[in-house]
Amino acid sequence: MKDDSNHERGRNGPLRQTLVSAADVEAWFLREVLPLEASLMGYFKRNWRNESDARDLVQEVYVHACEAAQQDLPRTARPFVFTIARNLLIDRFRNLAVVPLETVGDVETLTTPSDQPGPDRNVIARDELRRLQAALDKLAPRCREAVLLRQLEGLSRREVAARMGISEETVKEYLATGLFLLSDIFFGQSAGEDCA
Amino acid sequence: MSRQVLKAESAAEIQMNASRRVIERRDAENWTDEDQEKLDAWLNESSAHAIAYWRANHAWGRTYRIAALKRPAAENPLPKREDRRSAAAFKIALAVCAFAVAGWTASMLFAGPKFTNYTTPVGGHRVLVLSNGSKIELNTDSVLRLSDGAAVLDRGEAYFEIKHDPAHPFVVSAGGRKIVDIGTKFLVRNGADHLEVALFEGRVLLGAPDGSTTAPSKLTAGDVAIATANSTSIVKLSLRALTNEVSWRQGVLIFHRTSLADAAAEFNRYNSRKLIVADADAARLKIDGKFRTNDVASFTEVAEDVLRLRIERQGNQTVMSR
Repeated sequence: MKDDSNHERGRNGPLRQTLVSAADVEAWFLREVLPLEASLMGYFKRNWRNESDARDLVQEVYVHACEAAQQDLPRTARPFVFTIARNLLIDRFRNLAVVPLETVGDVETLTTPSDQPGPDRNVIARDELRRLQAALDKLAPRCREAVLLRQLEGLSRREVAARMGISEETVKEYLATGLFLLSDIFFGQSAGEDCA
Repeated sequence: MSRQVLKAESAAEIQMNASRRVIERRDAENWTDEDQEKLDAWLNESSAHAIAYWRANHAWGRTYRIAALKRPAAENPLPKREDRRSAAAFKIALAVCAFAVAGWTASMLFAGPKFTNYTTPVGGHRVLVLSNGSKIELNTDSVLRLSDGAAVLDRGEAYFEIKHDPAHPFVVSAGGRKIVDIGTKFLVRNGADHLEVALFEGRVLLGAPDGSTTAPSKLTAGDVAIATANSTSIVKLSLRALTNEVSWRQGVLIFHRTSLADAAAEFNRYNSRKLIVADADAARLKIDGKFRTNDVASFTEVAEDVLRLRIERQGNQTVMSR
């Protein structure tokens, strides 16, 4: 098939540099979109039939958002992102050929002002510290030990392996698992939510 | 490289993979061109890969920064997770009205007027128009006794549109309470363990339990009072939510983030074929939707298609389970 549609290519293929550089899209994503992850997860858990699909739906929103942002960075991220989320849900519902479902998602989320003043930096840091502590507590003991040795004590992976008496490959697995869980706790959960 | 590939690979798998690659990249003691090529190839496979990598990389940097901040002193224990539902429930204003009228309850006691009985069967709906133009709509499975200027809702639910007469306020008795209209449209639902009064227009006074000396509560438009034997709580609802409360007047049920258990219970009020939600997980599913009160079939079909529930007919019951 002839690939003559930039739009389709952008959709399905890798992030291609178009009008906005990949670095700018990345910076925008980390600054504006990633902080919305907890809201997005909550949105999909509330409004989609299967809570376990939330992670996949959020990922799909990210892909749509970043691909659109390559053309032009949206001025306000929140309404932009939640419109994508809502349309995604509508699509999903439509595919199910369901009788009229009255509403798709809570519209309030769309209208929450995005430019409200953020919390004080110190509060953020304290909050993050607390969350990190909680997150670390949730890790399996060996996994936690690896993360602490690597990140807190600054040992190299080889040193961690030597200290713990395990292979470097195993250290890598511990760290990767730890990072996976920590990412979820940082971005995917609202403050005060338990990290199960 | 297409959506199909993305579908096959779950977001969790991609994120785990991205985490592993971030660790590799960050920890590499000698990162070769070949390593970089392999990483680039993976990142270029799909936007989802690149985004998951950004995300994990950002998180790893953050743990490092925070770890650097961390002092050895033990952190405060985490605050207990807030139960949002109860938080919302506690927002309820216990609005006790200012004009406590001594003997008010007593003055409202009716001694022996003649009552006429009106009933509706399960699924029934009946509109009564009074001689003064006031209107009363009875919902499913309800029993109302009516006399001049007073009504007793013995069971079920009724919507009142009362033409106000200051000299003779209309009084509704239900669930051991009295509701006195001050020119208004309101809904009264006499439930098994509580009484619900919702105000659409005007004002009413909701009396304390009969025999109690507590002052009546004054309700204004948008208030929904939930009264039990010894407590009254009042919440303010939006017009839309309030309208949903009386959607039965149009013969429909409107669900908005309603649990499957509550939705089934609503249907059961209107239908003799009862819905049973057999497991707790299914009961907690939240749904939105609009259905005819008597159209259980559509509801179960949707539940089967959308919620992927098993629907079984057993005698006069329909059992829904995962």
